[in-house]
Amino acid sequence: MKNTEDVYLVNVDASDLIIKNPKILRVLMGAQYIKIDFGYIAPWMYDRGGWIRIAPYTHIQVHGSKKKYALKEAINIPLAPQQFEFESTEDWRVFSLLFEPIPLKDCVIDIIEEEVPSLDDFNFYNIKLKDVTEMLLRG
Amino acid sequence: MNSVLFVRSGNNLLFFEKKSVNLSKSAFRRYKVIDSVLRNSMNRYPKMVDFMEACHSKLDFYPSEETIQKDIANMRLPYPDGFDAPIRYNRAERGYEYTDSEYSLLGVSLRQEEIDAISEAINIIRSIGGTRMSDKFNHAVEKILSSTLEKANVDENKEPVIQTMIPPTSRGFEHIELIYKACREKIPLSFIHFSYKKRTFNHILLHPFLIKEFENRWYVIGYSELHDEIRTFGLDRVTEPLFINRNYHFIDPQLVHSYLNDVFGVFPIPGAKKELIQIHVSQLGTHYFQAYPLHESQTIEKENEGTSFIRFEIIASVELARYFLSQGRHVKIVKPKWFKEFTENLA
Repeated sequence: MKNTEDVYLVNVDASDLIIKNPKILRVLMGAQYIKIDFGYIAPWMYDRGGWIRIAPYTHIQVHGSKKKYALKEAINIPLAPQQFEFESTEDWRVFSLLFEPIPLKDCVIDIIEEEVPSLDDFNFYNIKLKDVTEMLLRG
Repeated sequence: MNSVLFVRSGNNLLFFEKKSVNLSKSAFRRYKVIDSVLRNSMNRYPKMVDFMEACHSKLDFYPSEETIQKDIANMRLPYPDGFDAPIRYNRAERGYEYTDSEYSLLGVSLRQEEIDAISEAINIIRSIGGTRMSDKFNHAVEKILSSTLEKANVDENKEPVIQTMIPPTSRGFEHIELIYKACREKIPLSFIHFSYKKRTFNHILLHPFLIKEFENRWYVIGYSELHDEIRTFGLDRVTEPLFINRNYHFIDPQLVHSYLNDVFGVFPIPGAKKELIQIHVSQLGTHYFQAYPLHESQTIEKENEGTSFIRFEIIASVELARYFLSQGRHVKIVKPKWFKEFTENLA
């Protein structure tokens, strides 16, 4: 019997992703949410590293289901139209997105910021979540 | 309730646990009751029966008159056998009293030299790194200050007479208690790490065993699953460490000992083993190496004109190479050859 407070550190395979920046670093899953940690490096092609933000309607889709799991909270990244301005092309930032909980089982997910994305949007496809309930976090 | 104190010693973070003492059955508890009865302004000259009843009420124990008399006698004994309590029997009032109304057993009845000693000790602790200690210790210091040092006439405006480099709190230092717990209780950690040099992020699963401070920077050392070896991570580059429920990967105690004692700095050169490192040092440099040994294994063989060969039994590290480089013409690496070349390449 799983505790509703339990949170698992999920083995994530994001090797197929075309977008390498931001990089998906860690996925935590529980009965209350799924949290995805990203690392972003301010790119050289933008003056002073440019800016980042996330659309409030960003969501997760689990392959095999049409249900959309909404963004609940964005940590360390502003919700559009607000944006975080970098100061240099050497800057970096770790941010997290918390979504509604998805079923606690191995699956493949997409993270969709825009249904019709441009190159600047944070859309990630075919993220494989494995051994979902094997590594429990400890309080 | 236990409290933890972090103290820097050399390059290592040491910790001490202070355990509170259970005094429930000790005579000291009766002394405290007697003290409180004597300080009760509503009953300025308590009688023997007042002490006995107070003990019964507060300690759930009815002492004999003889016990209370012995307690009072013990309290009156001079330091260090007793508490120098100025208790006397007032014949006119037929009761006991403190002849010094300022006296209080609970107010930590320290003698002036003890108060001075604590005052000096706290000033020294603050000087050598007050900001780097855990909040728990700071609270304890504040408590002592509020209850005791008021009497010591500490002049808040007085400039310190010891000054060491106390940098502002660095990024990542807020994780130190969590990482300390992970090291101590052998709990693996998950955290995100950013490499300044490679400009890459990684998710690290670390089985930590040591927190180390070097040149005012803090590091955690442990077995990294990603790298399948022992690695060092700067706390400033660690984001959101979390405990994970996973079997701990124990490290060979010899290796831990080696990290504690045989490395100057925090980043041993990959593949380096403990070996003899010999440098040739100028006259001026020799004075400084004599005054400030770099490592406990350091030995100096002086030459006639004051220059010297200095030897270390140590694991070569990046920091050692940088240190030698920073000495310019005063230090030349003699051996081993590979370390000489490594250092030259760093330049």
